[in-house]
Amino acid sequence: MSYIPLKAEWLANTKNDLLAGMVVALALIPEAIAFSIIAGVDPKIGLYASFCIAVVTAIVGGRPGMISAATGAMALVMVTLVKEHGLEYLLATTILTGVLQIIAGALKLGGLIRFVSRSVMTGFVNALAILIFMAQLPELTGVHWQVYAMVGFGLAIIYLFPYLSKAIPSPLVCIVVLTVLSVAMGLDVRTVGDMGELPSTLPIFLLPQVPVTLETFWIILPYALTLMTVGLLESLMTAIIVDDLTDTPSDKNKECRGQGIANIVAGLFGGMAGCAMIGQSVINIKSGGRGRLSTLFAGMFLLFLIVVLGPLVKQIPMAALVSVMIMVSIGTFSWSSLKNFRTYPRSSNIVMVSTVAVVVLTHDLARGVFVGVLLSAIFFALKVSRLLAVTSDLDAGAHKRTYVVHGQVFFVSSAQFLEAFDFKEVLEAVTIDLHRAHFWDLSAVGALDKVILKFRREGTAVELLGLNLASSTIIDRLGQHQNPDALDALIEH
Amino acid sequence: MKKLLVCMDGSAYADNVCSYAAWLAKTLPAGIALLHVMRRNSELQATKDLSGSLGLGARGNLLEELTKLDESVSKLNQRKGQLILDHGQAVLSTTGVSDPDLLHRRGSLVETIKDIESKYEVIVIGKRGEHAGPDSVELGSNLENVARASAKPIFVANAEYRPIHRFLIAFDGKGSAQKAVDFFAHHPSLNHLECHLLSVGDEPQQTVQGAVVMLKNAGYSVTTHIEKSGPIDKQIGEHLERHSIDWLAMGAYSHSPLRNFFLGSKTASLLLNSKVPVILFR
Repeated sequence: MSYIPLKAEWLANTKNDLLAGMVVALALIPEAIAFSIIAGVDPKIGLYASFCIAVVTAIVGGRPGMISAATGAMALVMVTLVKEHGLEYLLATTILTGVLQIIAGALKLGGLIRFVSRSVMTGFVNALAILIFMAQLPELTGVHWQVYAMVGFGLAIIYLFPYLSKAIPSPLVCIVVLTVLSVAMGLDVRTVGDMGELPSTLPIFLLPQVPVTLETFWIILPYALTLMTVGLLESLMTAIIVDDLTDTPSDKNKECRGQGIANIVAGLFGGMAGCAMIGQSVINIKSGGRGRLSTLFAGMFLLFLIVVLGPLVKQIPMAALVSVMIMVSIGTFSWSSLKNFRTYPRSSNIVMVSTVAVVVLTHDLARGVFVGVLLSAIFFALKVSRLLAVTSDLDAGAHKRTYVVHGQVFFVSSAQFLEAFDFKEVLEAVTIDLHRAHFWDLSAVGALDKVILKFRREGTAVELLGLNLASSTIIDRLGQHQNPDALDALIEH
Repeated sequence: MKKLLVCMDGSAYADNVCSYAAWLAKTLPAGIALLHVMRRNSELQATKDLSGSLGLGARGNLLEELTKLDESVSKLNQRKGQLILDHGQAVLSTTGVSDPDLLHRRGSLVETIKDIESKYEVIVIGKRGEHAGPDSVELGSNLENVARASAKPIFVANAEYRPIHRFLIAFDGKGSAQKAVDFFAHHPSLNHLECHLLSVGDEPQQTVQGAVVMLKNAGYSVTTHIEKSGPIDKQIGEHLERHSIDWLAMGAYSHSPLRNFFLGSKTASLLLNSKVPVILFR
């Protein structure tokens, strides 16, 4: 385990951490509200969640400087649960999600992230960006032209204001300007206040009011499992992004446990499940945040803003939030993946596009990643199976042929391996040189057995040369041709 | 051959660290490895952009920008580290120690020491790092972190170099103090120094006697003092003055960081007030 003094993780970068924390808190407000609306709950649920999760992960997370809060990826998974069973079940699910994540951390499942290839990750962020954008569409369809004007104006402020000043967060400017405009002009547009209840107090500790029965458990378990997977996937991917940006390592299993504890706390204080946020974490790093203090302060400042400014937050027109969310969506999308589409190998592109397609169709990031990982594995197996070559030499006088096998023999390449031998040729003896071959699994061993037995049935003596150590251990353990009854056993298969 | 691991930075203590290390290396005898650890700078680098907006390719641009920042600073630091090591080598060669091993590493000092300390006999380090002046009222943060993380004896160099003739072992009967006694007993090449043993705790007479016998067997001439009252750090300080001791050996940081945070640490206060080099045992 690496030894990093606690003090360094908290206080090495105090001033920048506090500033960045403020920038992040301001950006968290519209996101938390927007994601609550996606999930179909009151904005206060997302705001409480964002506070709890940010503060708890600051203390127990494995990646200093990463921002976790209520997220779109998680909100999308909850939609049906909230619709069919209501808020209390969501809170119970949030707690169960946390428990599952702690178990995942204890089982060191964080290491499994290495099976998620780069193309899958790109697919994940692109899908996430598309989903966040799609979630804004209800606010943009069948509305007055004023809303379009406001969203356009908002986006202009967000992207152009930084050219004037980089000292004030431009999303904040966008929200303030649009709010003042809509109030001053008395525009009849939807506001945050119309979307549900905002927090008026500090979060209160409450056990979810659900019947403690097995039936409840079976209702919430599938959701909790999906939330666990999506939460950990996005958190670990974000952790990798932050690792790269700051050139520092992080403890992935600790992050799993930290996410779990944060979700349990969020559930107990009336918040929805959340995870790490790619966009916000990038904003934090960009604003100079590096230490745990930035995350902690983001959460605390968020709560302060909400409790103090609650009445004002109600006035924010939804169009302002939509602008901010479109910015998040644009910032999350990996635009370079479009540019690289022509030059990248086709298999990588198929993996990326499949991941995106499955997510967009199912609204479930976990399924998309599952499909992506599966496809990556298949493509990899196919590529490795091409690393097999069998060459041969005939010694005509002695009626003897030597086959030389190069490369990897396993379930995908075993048929190819079999085809390389010519059983119709009449020979007295065959030598198979396996010096350069690797036998990986039962299929490979079975194929070799089959070759040997076939030659024997034709009356050809078979000699194996140089089974390297790895292959020979597999064959000693699994092979059959050395047993006298081998032929019968093979036929029975 | 046994070696001393000598930690160098650009602080005012660096020359003394080298001088003491040279003395110890010649006396024990032992070889010397000069270590400079280049700080990671990415934590301290920040872009001054609080706009909080995410444009096209935000991640890639940010990565590029941060890499550029780090690159330029790292190049400078690399050069600086090289100069520090060259200087250390020069100081050593004036005292007749040539060809030290030079270790230029990246990362944190504590982690680096933990990785490599098993190959070394004693760690030599200055009381404070380059970010603190000699008048600073606090100890260097690296010193405590190294002392807590390392299992090796740590020689802490002070601001003024003077030749060592007399040393004092602050003995409280605990394991770490016993380690101090063991160290001197195992290095009889130091026995030309005058040895003072100060018993400061409420340990039984037998333990003190055992320690004295061990030292005498190794050829030391031992003077024993017993102080049973008053604060330990103050007692030790007075004895250092009274017998003009040049070198203090003691156990260190036997309490948890949390306890020290609230109650203060005897080790820290002794290190802070001591005008002589200290060798710490854990």
